[in-house]
Amino acid sequence: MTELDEDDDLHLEMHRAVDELGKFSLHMKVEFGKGTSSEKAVSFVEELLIEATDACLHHGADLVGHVKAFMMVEGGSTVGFSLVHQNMKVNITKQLNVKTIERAEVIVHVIVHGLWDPEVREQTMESLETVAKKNHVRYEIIKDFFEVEKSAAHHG
Amino acid sequence: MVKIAQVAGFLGSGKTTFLIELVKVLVDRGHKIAIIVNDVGEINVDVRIVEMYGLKAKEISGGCICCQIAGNFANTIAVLQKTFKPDLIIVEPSGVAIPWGLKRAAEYSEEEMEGEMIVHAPVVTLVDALRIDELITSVRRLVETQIREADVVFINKVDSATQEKIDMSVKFSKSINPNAEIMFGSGRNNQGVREVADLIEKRTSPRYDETYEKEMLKREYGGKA
Repeated sequence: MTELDEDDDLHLEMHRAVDELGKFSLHMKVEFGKGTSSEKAVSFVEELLIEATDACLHHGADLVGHVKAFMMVEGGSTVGFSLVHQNMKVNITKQLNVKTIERAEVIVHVIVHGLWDPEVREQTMESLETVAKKNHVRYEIIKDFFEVEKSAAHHG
Repeated sequence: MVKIAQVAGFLGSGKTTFLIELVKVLVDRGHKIAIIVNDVGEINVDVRIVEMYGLKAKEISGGCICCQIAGNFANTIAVLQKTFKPDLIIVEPSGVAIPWGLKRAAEYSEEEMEGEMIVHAPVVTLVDALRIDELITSVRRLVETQIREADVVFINKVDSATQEKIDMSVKFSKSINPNAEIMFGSGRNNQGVREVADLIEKRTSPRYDETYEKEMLKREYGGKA
């Protein structure tokens, strides 16, 4: 089976455009606190995506690639989040069968253009800290994918 | 024969939403569909969104199936064909995938499927009308490549884009690929999805042609062919 030849100048040239996409993703446990309404929990993730996007743009990104998240709640409820532009609302797809959310697992994926991966990571993590503090939410990172993903670019 | 349909397009162009609606239409028409969702990152949010709608999808993460993990993609097709025998495989490549690269990767699977041939449905590239001006400015070459290699350019999000941006999307797409069929709609509102499903059912797209692709890429990106 033939894979692309990584030394091929043509393909390297082709993928330079892609390499300008910076990305970072993480998987975390979030503790919202007892009795937190599902609306508030959803709004925390929404706020995180907006904050991380704004921070990336403020630090040099010139285009939102795709900033998305997925929340999994005990009992099978799930919520998907998608942000593609800083001036547009976060698109939220809910399948919630609970009124309160005490804890959840959340996956966050940030891809922007014009900013390198380490900076995307830094801005995302700082945004997480800010938004969590503001909303009195505790979190624990289950996995930070920075190390594995930094070599998994389109043509890494 | 295994028919592969790809829904291409830049990050955030609405591929996942469109794919969900497309699959619903095709399933309603009696097709046995397999879905493959690729993400360059290690963690695949899109596949979880697809599954929220009760659809089963095969997830390929950690690289781009058009090149970096082409072998993984080919193997997935072969396994699906042996075990599930779909009459159509719908693929959502990553937002940075090159359609012809994906065709080539899909054809690799023939080595693992005794006598089965890959047939390509028309390549559908989604163009995000809402962000067209910014895409042209920031990621022009990639978006050009995805349009150039399309059989159908689907101007997406027309329900919320201005006429000016829709016109800009059409003009840009036609300037790059005058032979592509231009369609309009919105995956979110299921607008234009049935028409794309018709094309996927009825038409095919040429097989991967290395000489032609290299020539086109050379023209676009330079370097040595």
